[in-house]
Amino acid sequence: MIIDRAVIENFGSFRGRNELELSPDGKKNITLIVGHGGAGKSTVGQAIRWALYNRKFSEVGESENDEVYSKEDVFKQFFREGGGAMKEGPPAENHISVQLVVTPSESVKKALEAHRYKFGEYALEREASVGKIVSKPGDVILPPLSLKGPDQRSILYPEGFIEEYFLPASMSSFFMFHGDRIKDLTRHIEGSPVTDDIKKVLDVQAMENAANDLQQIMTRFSRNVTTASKDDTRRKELDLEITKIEGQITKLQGQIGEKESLLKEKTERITELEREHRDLLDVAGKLGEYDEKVRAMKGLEGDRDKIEEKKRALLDVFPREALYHTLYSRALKVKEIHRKNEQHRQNAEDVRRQLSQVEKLKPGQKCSVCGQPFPEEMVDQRKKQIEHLNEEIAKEERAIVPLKPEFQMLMRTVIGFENIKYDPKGLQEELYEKRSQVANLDHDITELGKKLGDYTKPAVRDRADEVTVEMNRLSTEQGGLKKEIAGYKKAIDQYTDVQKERSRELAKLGDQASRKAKERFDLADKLHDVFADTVDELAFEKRDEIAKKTGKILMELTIKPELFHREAPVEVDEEFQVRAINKDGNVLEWDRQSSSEKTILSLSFIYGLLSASEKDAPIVLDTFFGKLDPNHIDKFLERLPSFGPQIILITTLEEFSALLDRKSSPFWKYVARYIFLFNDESTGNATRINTISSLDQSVKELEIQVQAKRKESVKR
Amino acid sequence: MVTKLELLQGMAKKHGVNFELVAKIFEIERGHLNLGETEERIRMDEVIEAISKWTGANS
Repeated sequence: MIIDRAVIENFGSFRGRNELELSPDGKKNITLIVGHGGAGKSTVGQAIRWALYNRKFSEVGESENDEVYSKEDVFKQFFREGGGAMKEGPPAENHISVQLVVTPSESVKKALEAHRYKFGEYALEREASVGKIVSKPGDVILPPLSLKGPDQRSILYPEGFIEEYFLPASMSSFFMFHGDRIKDLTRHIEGSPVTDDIKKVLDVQAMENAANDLQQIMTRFSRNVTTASKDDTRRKELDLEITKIEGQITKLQGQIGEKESLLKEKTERITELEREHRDLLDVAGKLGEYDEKVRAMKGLEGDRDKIEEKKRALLDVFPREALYHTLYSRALKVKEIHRKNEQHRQNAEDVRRQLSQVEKLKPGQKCSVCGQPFPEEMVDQRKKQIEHLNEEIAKEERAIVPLKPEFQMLMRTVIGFENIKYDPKGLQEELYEKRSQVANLDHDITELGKKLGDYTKPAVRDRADEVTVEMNRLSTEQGGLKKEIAGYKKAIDQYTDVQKERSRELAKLGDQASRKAKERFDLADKLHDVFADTVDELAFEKRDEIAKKTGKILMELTIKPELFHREAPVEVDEEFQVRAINKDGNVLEWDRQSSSEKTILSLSFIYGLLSASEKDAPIVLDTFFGKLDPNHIDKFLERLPSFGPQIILITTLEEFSALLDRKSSPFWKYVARYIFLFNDESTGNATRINTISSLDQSVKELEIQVQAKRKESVKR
Repeated sequence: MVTKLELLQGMAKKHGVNFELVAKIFEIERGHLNLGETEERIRMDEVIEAISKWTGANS
């Protein structure tokens, strides 16, 4: 199916009617939804899932996958309070709805037409409303889902129609993902819970059920065949034998049930142990981090001690009173005064020298050159000059500031140590910084210590060893149980064959009156063979197809192809368990791989399964680029357009910015449109949509914003 | 790659059963599975009904 359009009205962070075009445009099959955290990106995926299935987005293989939204969930999660998500009080709007326009895939066209449905766009609407006065979860009204065909005819049972002709909910779990869950899929595809889901997706389960049901129907039909009196004894014998066989089968099925419940317990315990093992690996990582931090702290403490030592040295060198910054400043001022005093003394001395020269000219004194007495006015001038010079001397001497003895001592000290850089403020700041770094690290170490609890390296190693031993023991027991179950199943098969033979014989004894019953029996017998044979063939073909397609794409996407087996990197066993195979032909341990590699395996598997499922399903990938390293992103972008007919890619602004760095990637040719989501402050941060079809100016502007945001976050 | 319907068609031909009936039963089983596992009895009753109708119509 293809989701052509979504109209989201008052749902979650969306306010009013918001139309999102999602349909592929020719070969452009990708719709990119971009927004910052809280802009409403994931709400789009949630709205689509709510509209189609009213089921929660959860992990593949997890039971809550089938969990239906309650009235309370709808009220709390989808209705919106005045300024944000619902907490309490009346919602901002009384009615929410999600409308989807969906086109079923071409492969179901014949089936649709056989049931007199038109092929084309189907309009689906799910809505909810609350009263205007009192609003609480119990008040939520959930009208039935509405689905109309291209001829505007209402579909009477829309849920069944969606499961049959759109995309079954169980299958959607594989294709509508949140980023975190993609990585987790590797955990499931190697475990049993997902096996049933895969069988459902491939319709193997439906065929298995058909074969089993027909087997029982045959027995039922055989009993309806009445017999002629001459064969009555044989009929009774056969009937008795069939009953006995049925008893044996029931007993064996009971034993299988017991063993399966034991197997389930063991599998659950193994899952728990695997989780603990992962936690232990995590703890081991944290222990490494802890050691590193302790080492870093020791380094910092060394630095801090050195600074403190330096500060102590300064305290020793300087007299006690000079430790105080004010006194130190005062000492500098005193030094300055002293300098000025010296200057004034020097000035006074100079003036005195001039004065002594001037004083040499006494009244009536004759010039030594011409022998004439100096003129009267010159003598007056000299008098004035002497007065002036005396004034100058007095002025300079007045300018000399008397220094107190302690200041003189201070000044001498400062002058004595003036070559030593005394910067207590700078040192103190440096010290504060080191102390703060030490305190931060100390906090981190304490926090880590709390998380680690009693774990120490040897303890972690011992526990990891214990867990591994227990896992191995349980795996052996699991294998034993599986063998026992297989043995019981084989016995049931044998009994079933005998039962079938006896039933056939019983049916043959039927007279003319029971001809119809015999005819039905024969038909059920043949139908059983059709389904039983198809299941074997189908399972074989699909396992092979998934393994080949997953393996092929995995080898194209991985940045470590040397890890995998060249010819058969992926194996799907009879239980539909998917495993990656290493270069030596052994199972590759995924726990040891990076989360980026895990994500790549999951994506490859999604591709393999989608190809094998014979369904056209939209792939919704929500904020998962953060899980990939840059090399994987390059490779993935190249292959993504071939993943399916419709791809809805939800990214954060940061992820989009990383994509913009890859402008030369062929990926951009396949992008049909860009839907940017923003929070509109004028409407209480409601989600606003801006859809554009090409990387035009507005995107460039956005790119600038993104780059600024990126720089800001780097700085932060 | 061979599709499931092609396989089913091939097997129906091999065992001499009309494919329309095979497809009908497959649809019943798939419908029940997709909508969540239903009781075996209900499923079987629907299959029996389909077989009965078929034999009735073709007898």
